[in-house]
Amino acid sequence: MKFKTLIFTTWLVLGSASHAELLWSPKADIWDKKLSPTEHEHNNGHTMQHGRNREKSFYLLGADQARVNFIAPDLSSHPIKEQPDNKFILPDTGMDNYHALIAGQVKENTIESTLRYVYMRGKPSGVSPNKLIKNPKLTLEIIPDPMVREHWRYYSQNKHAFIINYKQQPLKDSWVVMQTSNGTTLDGKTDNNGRVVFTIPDDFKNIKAGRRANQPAEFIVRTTHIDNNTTYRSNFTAPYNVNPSHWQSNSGGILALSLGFISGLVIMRRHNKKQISSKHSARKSS
Amino acid sequence: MNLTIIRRLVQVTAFIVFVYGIGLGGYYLADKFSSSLPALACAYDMYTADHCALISLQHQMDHRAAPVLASGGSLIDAFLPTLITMGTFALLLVILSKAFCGWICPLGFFQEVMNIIGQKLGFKQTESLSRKTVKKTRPIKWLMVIFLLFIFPLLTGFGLTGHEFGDPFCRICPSRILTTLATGDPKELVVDTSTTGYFIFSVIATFLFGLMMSIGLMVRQPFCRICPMLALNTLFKKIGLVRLVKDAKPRCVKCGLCAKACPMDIHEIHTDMDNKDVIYPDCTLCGRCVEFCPDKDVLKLKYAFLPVLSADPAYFKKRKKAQTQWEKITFFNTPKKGDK
Ligand code: SF4
Ligand code: SF4
Ligand code: SF4
Repeated sequence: MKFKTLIFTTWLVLGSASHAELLWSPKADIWDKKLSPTEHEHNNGHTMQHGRNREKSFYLLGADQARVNFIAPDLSSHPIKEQPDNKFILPDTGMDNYHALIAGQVKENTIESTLRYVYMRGKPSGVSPNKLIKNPKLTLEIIPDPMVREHWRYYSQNKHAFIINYKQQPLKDSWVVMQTSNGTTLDGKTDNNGRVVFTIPDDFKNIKAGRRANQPAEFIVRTTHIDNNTTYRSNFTAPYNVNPSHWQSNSGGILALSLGFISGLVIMRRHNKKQISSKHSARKSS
Repeated sequence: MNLTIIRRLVQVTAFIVFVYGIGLGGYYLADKFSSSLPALACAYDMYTADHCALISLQHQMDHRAAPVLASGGSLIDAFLPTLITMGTFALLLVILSKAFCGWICPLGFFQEVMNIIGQKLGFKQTESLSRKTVKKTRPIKWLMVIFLLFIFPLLTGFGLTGHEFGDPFCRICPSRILTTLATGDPKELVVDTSTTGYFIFSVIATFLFGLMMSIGLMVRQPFCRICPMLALNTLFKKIGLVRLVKDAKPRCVKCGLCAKACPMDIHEIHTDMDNKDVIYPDCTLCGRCVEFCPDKDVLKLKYAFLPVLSADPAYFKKRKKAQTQWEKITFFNTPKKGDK
């Protein structure tokens, strides 16, 4: 890593750690202990809820008179009730699909914002999730490109892209940091389209076989931009899971497929032989 | 241009939309448009434009119906999402009926392609399965519906079976492997060693996929014959606008070319002399029986009241000739000039 890069990314990492960073988290202490959340429903927000109307809540860390907003897929805003300890219980909008959970605060000449997408269950919204995801919500916004959809999650080892927009324009050559609650930090620079790609680190300890046996961890993608003496800090948080390749084998799959293929050929050979012999005996008897 | 060529064009287009849809209209093309498609477009394929109803139904049993019933909720509360899914499913079937199978389904198309490959490679084709085999196979799809779409997911929701039984049809569905592989993603072609249940399901799924491929080289539509989607869309066949109509003539008794042409070996299409509506539970509305019926207007494929194709001796002659020519082309010999 070049010296300049090192300084900048260190500033991005430590800068946010030196004061409490504004961010959404499924647990109050997940980033302190660098441990995975233990609440299963908080994996990537799109696990099916067991039962109905199971409450979803998030903690807003680093908040000091922050303003929060909860936006449904049709872009309607819904008030969220704040509980003690900066806990926010998400309202039931009755709509299915991703909802945006946003918070922002101004401190002197720094504007901080945090964004998270939460999958809520309800009636089909009838609108494309792109409407919400692509709709500008923050001055400095980190846009997942694309957002993981149903039956997909963020997994370790997988590549995922993010677009950084400042005032709705892609921000090129901007440093972006990805940090995980398992303790890994990565950095990257946006290209001309404001796009940066990260390979989510495979940094889980004591991996057990099976997705449900491993709790998801959290990652944060953050960036900073200075314009006109104002510092804009933004982040995007999401959960990620252990890559199933730890307990799934492609060669095993190919082997079972080959066995099936060969069995099919054998079955058909037998079937054809039987048909021929039954034709023979039919001819003989006539 | 004959009906089969038109159908192939529709199938290719549908395959592109339901396997690679993202490339056509952005990441969420048609997302949440239905989630109840009456064809095996797969939710595990990250690029699909929409997904089949079967996954929605299984999840609704496991995650909604069972927990609501267990907590003393009402039946309507437990099954409301299922009613919405089935309502959307029925609405789509009004438009295309069982033609979702014969014209749209990526897995149905793949099996047809496998059969073409088998024929071109010179594998001996089994033109029709025996009536005994067909009879034995037919109930399997209904058992799949009852156990894999409803009973096991419900039991899982009640906590009586392991999580792998929450969506047991998806666990073994060949479309999951096909569509993800088609997008270059091998993550579903795996053996999963996390639990005994997942191990068994993953071995069955991959084995079944291989079996379907090789049998498909010689037999038409091997998986369709046991597919639960075929059973499920049968429940709504009366409301579809696509109709298959028969006006039987005495000559039908000795003919039987329609049944021979049928990829699903529905012999009743030949033997039924009484019914006008001849959409049988196994029918995929491919229209081949109409194409290969040599008698004027005996079989008709209609859209509402509009005729799509009517059996016609001239069409039959041309179609048969084209078929003979096509079957002569194999990877190892091409037809010589003057071949008939
Ligand atoms: S695995 Fe099969 S049943 Fe499940 S979503 Fe995919 S296509 Fe539908
Ligand atoms: S019966 Fe065949 S064509 Fe119809 S949904 Fe099943 S696999 Fe697809
Ligand atoms: S009965 Fe006719 S339309 Fe139905 S599957 Fe057979 S050939 Fe196709």
